[in-house]
Amino acid sequence: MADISNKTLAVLLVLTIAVSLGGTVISLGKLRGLGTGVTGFDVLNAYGNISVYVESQAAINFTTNATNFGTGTVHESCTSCTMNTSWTGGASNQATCCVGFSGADNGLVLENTGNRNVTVDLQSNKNAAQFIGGTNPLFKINVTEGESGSCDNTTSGPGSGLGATFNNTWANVPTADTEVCDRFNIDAGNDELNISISVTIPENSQTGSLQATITATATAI
Amino acid sequence: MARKRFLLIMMFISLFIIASDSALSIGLRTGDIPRYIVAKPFGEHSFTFIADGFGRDVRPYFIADPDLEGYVSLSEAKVVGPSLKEFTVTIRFPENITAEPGMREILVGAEEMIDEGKGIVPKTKVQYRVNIYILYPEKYIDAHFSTQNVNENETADFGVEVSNFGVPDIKVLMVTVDIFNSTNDRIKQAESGLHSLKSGETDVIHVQLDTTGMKAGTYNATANVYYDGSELPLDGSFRIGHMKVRVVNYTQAIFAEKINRFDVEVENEWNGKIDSILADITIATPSRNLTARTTTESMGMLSKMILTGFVDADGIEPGEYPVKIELFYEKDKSVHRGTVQILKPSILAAAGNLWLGIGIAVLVLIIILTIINVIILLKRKK
Repeated sequence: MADISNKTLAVLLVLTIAVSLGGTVISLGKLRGLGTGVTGFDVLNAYGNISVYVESQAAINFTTNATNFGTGTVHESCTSCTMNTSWTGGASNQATCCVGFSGADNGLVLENTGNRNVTVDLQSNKNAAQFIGGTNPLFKINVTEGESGSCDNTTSGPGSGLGATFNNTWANVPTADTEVCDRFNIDAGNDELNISISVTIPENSQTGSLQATITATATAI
Repeated sequence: MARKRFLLIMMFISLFIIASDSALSIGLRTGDIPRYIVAKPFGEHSFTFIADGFGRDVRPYFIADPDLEGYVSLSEAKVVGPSLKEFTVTIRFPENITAEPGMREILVGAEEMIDEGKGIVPKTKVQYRVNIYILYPEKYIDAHFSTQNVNENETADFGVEVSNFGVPDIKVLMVTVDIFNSTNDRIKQAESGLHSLKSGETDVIHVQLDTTGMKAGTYNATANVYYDGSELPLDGSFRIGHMKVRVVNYTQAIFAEKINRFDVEVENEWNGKIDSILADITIATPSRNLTARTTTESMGMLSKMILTGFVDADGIEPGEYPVKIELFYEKDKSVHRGTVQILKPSILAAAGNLWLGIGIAVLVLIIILTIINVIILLKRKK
């Protein structure tokens, strides 16, 4: 078979470029003409009924529910040991008065996982005296938005709907249902509440395994 | 000595403050629950719920005031899946409803069943509110007044939603609407026809107001609801608009020696859609007038939007110059006058031109190299 000359190759190269460019131009022109995009279906003459029924679901989830202060005692030079789980700080004498306790970095994180906005109430089954005992024990919570815009006010619209008593403030844990968030939103990225916990354990507190249950109640709105 | 011994003992006493580390969540699904149920003798309403404990057992419950408790019953929960329980709440009203009148509520929910264990244990509950209206024995209505914004010389349609929350039917129901100007003088009145409303029912009574002769602006309106010799006044307000689009803001500074984006923010004060609006921009400089026309857009009623045009400031001396923005919409026109700063070309603007130049140069180079390549190929001997 005879070799192909350079001239022939050059002509072929130019022809190839011309065909390629021409094809691209024609293809782009045709695609623009389709308007609705490339599809194998005649969308202009297709009809159908779609019926969808979405159920209402109110749901909440403690995504972070482990608050572990560890095990320890009150230092002999102190009358009490105060620890908290706040990310933003708060009263604490953990370094000097709490012996053996590991300290907890995180409080509880509550997320709205449903498709309905809800109000959130908190309630503890025990107050500080019942939970810890001794002289002047304290059992407090502090509620903040874990994600900005998570808690709105139903009457005045967007803005903090956090209950004033616990809004970034340490207050005694409620022993009756108490609203901490007026409208807890469902939007991903705006649906988290942080519940920080603070305990003050006096030197004459109860001993052994102490127990209290904090119940979060979500009411659909 | 006793004190020291006490402290020593305390040092060895352990305190456990440990919370559960398992997932704690709950969900409750249901269908539509009406805004409220009117309690009528022998009336019966059922709502089905599915509680999801996400791996944990759940317990359905309802909470009602003692005088409502007798009307509510909870079905046996049926297991319909892993940690899923279905249950139905039924509300049955007797012939003689003795519960306290007014809007009342029943909370229907589910709580997760947890092992209390040690430490601080979080727990979740979720619930829905079922509102019940217990009718008053005497005549009693609840009403809401809604107004409508209109344009000049149009007819406004006002509505009063009236609910009869009394046991007796209302035989004669009528609404009048008084219109007041800014000095609180009554300038117009309109009224509905005569209606009737059965016990427990809700109706919307419409009142038409012809605004012919009324100037654009905001007016106060008072609706008086007359029902079988009683009266309930309700306040509201509405706005009569006029076709006007105004310039709210515009680009305050552009750069010399380049084509600049020029934005004009406009507000439609007309209570209706404007199908076509555009702006002509004219900046008067000593050397020449810079002109631009924005794109043509449509605007929703009582809304704001930005119209964008491009102004070529090539060869213009920096300085402050007067600008005229003419808005053309429907068959109207409005003019806004102000000033615009023309600034020295910025480094960023120069950089933009530089990159454009580099791009063109690279393209030309590629074409030249391709041509050279072809020529070499053609001249190359076999």
